[in-house]
Amino acid sequence: MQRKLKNAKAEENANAEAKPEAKPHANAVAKQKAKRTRSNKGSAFAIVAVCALLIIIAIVTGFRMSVFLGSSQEMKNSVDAGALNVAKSVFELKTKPKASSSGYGYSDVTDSQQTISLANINRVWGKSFLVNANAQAMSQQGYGSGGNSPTDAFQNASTVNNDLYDLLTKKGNLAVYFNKLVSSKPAKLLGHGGSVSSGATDEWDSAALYRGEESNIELNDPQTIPTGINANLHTKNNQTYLQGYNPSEANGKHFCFVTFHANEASHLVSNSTFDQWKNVAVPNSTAMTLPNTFKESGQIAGQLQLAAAASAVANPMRSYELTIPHSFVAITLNSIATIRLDDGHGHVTTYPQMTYYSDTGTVQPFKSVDLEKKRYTYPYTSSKWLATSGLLSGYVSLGNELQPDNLWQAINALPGDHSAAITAILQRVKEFKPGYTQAELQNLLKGQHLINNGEDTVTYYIFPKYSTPDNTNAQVSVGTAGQLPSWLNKSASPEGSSKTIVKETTQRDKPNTAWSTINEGHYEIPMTPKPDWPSYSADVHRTAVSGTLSWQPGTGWNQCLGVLSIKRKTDVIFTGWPSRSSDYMDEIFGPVQ
Amino acid sequence: MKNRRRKGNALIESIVGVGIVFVPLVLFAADLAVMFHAAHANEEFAEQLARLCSTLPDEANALKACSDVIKQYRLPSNISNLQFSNLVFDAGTQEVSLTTSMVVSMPVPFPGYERVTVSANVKQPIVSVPVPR
Repeated sequence: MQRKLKNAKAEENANAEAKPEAKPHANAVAKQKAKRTRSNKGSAFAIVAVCALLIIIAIVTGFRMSVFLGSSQEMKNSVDAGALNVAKSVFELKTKPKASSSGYGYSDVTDSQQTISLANINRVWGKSFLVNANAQAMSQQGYGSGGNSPTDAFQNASTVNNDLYDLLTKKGNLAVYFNKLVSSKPAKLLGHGGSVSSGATDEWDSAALYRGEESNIELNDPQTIPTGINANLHTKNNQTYLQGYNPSEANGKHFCFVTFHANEASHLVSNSTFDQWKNVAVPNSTAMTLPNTFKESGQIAGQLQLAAAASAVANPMRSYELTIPHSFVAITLNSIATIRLDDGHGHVTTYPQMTYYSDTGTVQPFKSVDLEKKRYTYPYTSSKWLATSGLLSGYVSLGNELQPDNLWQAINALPGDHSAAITAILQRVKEFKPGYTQAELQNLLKGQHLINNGEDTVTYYIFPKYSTPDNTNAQVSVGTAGQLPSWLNKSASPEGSSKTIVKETTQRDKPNTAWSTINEGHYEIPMTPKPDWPSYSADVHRTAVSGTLSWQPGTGWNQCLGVLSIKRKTDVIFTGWPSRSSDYMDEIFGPVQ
Repeated sequence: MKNRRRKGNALIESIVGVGIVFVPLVLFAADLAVMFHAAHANEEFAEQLARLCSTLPDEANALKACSDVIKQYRLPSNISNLQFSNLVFDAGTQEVSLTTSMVVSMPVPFPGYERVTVSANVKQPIVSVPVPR
């Protein structure tokens, strides 16, 4: 090609030399020719080169676009994973609940590390709700207001709640979990410049999603809550839960639970869903509303500036029953016998009141009282007198109403409607063991033997035993001092006042009986026909067994959910009168109640 | 005569230019596009697989789920093989990681690059484990 150009130039030069007059014109033509020749011969290459350049630019642009889009997707995946990690890890943010000024608190609803997190905060509110529900029910039923306990329980729960709120809304805390994951999940297409980080956390936010849906507090047994109190409930798959973000009211206070869908893991939600719920207010919430959804943003701050945001709903995947785990119901049993010897002349010897037990058996309150020194007036013929003589000894068989020897029998010893007592106990037992049945309670109490501890009153405690460190899966037990778990505070007394809820039908001459012996005795009634009573000295010995059951409810804040007090009294009277006595029983014991 | 020569030159130049520059560039671009697409699809597949594993209770279940998914996965015509490996279900760190790899048949098989393997190693937080008691 170069040779061709040289030849052309030489030819043009020769022509120029041969025609000097035409030199200027010829030069112009030659230049034109040369120009035309160059453009024609390289034009295809130039077009190809330009097109190639365009294609290369297109390829490079396409490559860069792919890198951009790929990196963007990688970063989005990274931010998604980071947000998911935050939602999954927020349960590691924990607060240690402090006891209230009264010394009571929420140590029984903590996890195995004695801490409260978003996973079990609903247990705190659940216990607080039950305490206040008990107080309201007590007030409605005339047992008193529950004292300071309901307010104390609410305020202490609010303190725990607000401490946790501070932890959950501190962006630095969440950034730790976010960065932990995104730092190991860079946008690989960008190489070294692809590190994803939380960057500025201004866009980070939290929200309360799914108002009115289920929390992780189950309430499958409605009797867990005392009669007359209502809670906002949500039923799903035949399970009933307290509603989340729709506070339930008790005792004039509102208790807000966090929504956690049952059988769901922490998962991503769209940012639009997050924004939609962000503006939904939780009504009547006096404490800070704890969030269940967290929105985070991440960025790549390298050559390529990329940012993305993701939202994820947290779910602990653990639900709890509405309970007061460390609580108990007490049953006290006090059986006393009052024994009198009436001489018929207004002289009554009252022997010291004695406490008896199921194993007391026969007692002898007096022995060999000399009747000869006494004269007894026949009650209906006071003008006549009865002379008796001999040595009178009295015997009483006690504790027969407590046979068979068990706590169920102790409650139901005498005829009467005991359902009020059983209902009261059972409802309270359900506050630490929801779903507990009357049959189970009956079996439990039948298995508890009555003890003789030498004290006036024997107290039996019905309490839960736990095999899990977070006090779930309660097993109901009954026992007396010495058989109790270390957490049980025996000195806790119920805040309510006591009311008699069962008055038993008084039993005469049964099941406890009295009898006597008169040694060397006889009788005579001067100037009267021989009566039809026995011709030997005899006496009247009668018993009357009565009982009342009283209920004193507690809120459970100090552990005590209530005390059922069983009081039984066996009245025994001995006289020196002949044993024709059924017609004047009322004179002795008063009219039948 | 001159015109014919010039036209011939241009034709030859065009053929040479297109043949040497255009075609390889376009073919390379096609391969690159397929490879990028496969890499992206593989990355997304790995993410989804890891996310699935993160919802399962343990490594055995995760392994089974991955195998099932891969068995049921309908491979595109240009993907000759799809595998997962290095599945680690770490209950301690609460993270699951795995690697997926796709063998991609290049639309324009350059010598030595008839098939390209793209792989992606991804990590997801395990969300299937209930919070400790």
